[in-house]
Amino acid sequence: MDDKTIIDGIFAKDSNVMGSLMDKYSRFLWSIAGAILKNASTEEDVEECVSDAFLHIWLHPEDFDPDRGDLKGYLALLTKSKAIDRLRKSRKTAAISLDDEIVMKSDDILENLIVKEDLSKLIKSINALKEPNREILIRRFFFGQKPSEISRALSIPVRQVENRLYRTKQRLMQIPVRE
Amino acid sequence: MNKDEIFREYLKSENNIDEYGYRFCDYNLHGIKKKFYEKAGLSDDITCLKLKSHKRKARLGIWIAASLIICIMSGAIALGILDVSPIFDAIKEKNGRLVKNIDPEKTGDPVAQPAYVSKIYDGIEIQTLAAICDSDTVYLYFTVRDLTEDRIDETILIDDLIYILDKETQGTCRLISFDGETKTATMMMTISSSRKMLSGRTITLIINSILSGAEKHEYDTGLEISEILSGTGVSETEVISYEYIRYRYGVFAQDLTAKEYKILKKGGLSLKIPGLDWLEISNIGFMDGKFRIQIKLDKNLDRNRYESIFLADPDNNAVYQSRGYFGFTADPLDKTSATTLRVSDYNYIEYLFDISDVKELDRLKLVVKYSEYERMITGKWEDKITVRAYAESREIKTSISIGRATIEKVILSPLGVTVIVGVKTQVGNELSAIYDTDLIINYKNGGTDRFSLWLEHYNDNTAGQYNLKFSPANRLIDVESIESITIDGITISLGE
Repeated sequence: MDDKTIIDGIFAKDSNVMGSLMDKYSRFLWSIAGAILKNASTEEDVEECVSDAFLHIWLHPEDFDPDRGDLKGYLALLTKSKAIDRLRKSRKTAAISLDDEIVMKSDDILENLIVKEDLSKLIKSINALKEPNREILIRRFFFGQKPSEISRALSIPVRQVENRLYRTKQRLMQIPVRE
Repeated sequence: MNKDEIFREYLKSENNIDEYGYRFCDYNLHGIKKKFYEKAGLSDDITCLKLKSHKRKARLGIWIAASLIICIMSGAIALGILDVSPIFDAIKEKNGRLVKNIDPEKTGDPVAQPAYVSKIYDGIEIQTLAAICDSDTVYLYFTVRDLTEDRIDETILIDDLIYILDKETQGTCRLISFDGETKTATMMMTISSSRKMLSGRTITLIINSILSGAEKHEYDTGLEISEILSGTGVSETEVISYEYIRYRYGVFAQDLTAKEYKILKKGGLSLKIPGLDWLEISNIGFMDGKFRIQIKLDKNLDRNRYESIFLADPDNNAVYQSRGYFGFTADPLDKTSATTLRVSDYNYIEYLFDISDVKELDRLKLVVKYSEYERMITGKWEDKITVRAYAESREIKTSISIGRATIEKVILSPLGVTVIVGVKTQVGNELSAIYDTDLIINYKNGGTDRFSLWLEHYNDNTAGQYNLKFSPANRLIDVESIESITIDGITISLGE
């Protein structure tokens, strides 16, 4: 079943289509929500996030824009957003610490360096990183987690998270992204 | 490019994200669908239709190798007379109520927190009463009541029970009291975890079948042990890793530091028991100076539920009970967080007897203990319960030696005292003294309290570490009022 058939089915409020969609993508979306909420929330919360993402597409199929990417990617972003919301809600830590703010600013630097042509090189470089450096970077850069949240998720000290993050980003910024 | 665009592209690459979070199981798919259908206001027929197969997969996928536990059954429990009202009263006093059917979105109960209303199938109601935990153990109480007929009695067995919590847990479920007038059985589940931070965790409890109307049997197989041995020759052995071990019990099975276990070769023999088509002797013989019998259980037991074996004289008097046993599977265990309590899912059990000379087996025969149930009631009772700790646990590090074992830590909680023992070298009976002794609590006001060993839990994640829990099981302890504890004659002061 391709994306168009699924979206058409959802517009027609065909619950069987939703069943198929959940069969197809639940595991994938679980991995995203699960990574964000690990050690911060229960499996029950992860299920909630994933079901909320499905609920959103069920209620608002018009929000999906096929020109901006495929349905899988769209659901991934929805799930990510819901998991981060849940994480923040559970932590009740809206305020960003000074350290977190510094790290966030340096993330922007990395983001601004990327142009579409360089993307595959960046992804390749990320996947070539050793663990836990890769996981730390993904949590920081893609999931927007604070060092303190990453520290909790991986059970390693905050200072170590920050150091590893710094070194990893330095390393990634050495790749010739604009040749 | 913004982060979201990069993220989308990144997900198309070979990534490891699925290893960063929680493991996905079939029941999670069920949970996601169920929540979606509830929120969308749609019928969950699709989910329900698939539920049975999901549960079956979860049960077959059962548990862990990393953590082993047994529960020590006290005489009081066996007779079903444990009065749990003190623990209920304590929870009630703190919480203002025992049971509250709440909106799962509006959590906030500090102690006991049943999430949903009672479930009724085929006239049988199952109602969670209370759940409480400390750092390593959950006690969960629920009732089973027949609303329409008279099918529940004091022989009740919660047969097909699955709980979902963590992969490093094991549990038991047993009757603690039965009220004939209201036809209500009160059950107690004990779940032990080698992880900490149980408080705030949600347990999913799924019950698919209940048995009642048991008739107990001590079945004389008519098989003389020495005759079987004379026909089998020297028994072959094999080594299995702990990933195959489902549970073990007894001082002869305390190979605490081992990651591998030597057993009689699985299925080295296939001796049917006349009249019991669900059980066979799958090997027999001597190994390392101990006599062993390995049995294999058929998964299709109908309404028979196996209990144990013993060796009897010609007049059916029990002469030898086993001093330890291993329960293991033919295939390595999947590591999921869904755990079954059904013994018949264990495949093989190998019993160890304190017999080193074949002459001692002369004229002894094999007797099988099992129960035959009159009724099986099936349904799909399911509940989710968030457990809360009653109070903080208190932890004291020690290095007190008991024989060749060391008490590394003592954890006091309202549920009891956990003694964490480390064994550096494999010897055999290091803990036998602790098995046979009570733990005494000495209070600051001069009073004392005495508890038996309630459960033991071996954590393979920390080699050679054994958690022994001493607990009253039916009431709470005031941790702050404890001055010291005494175990095997050794007193450990808790200081200020």
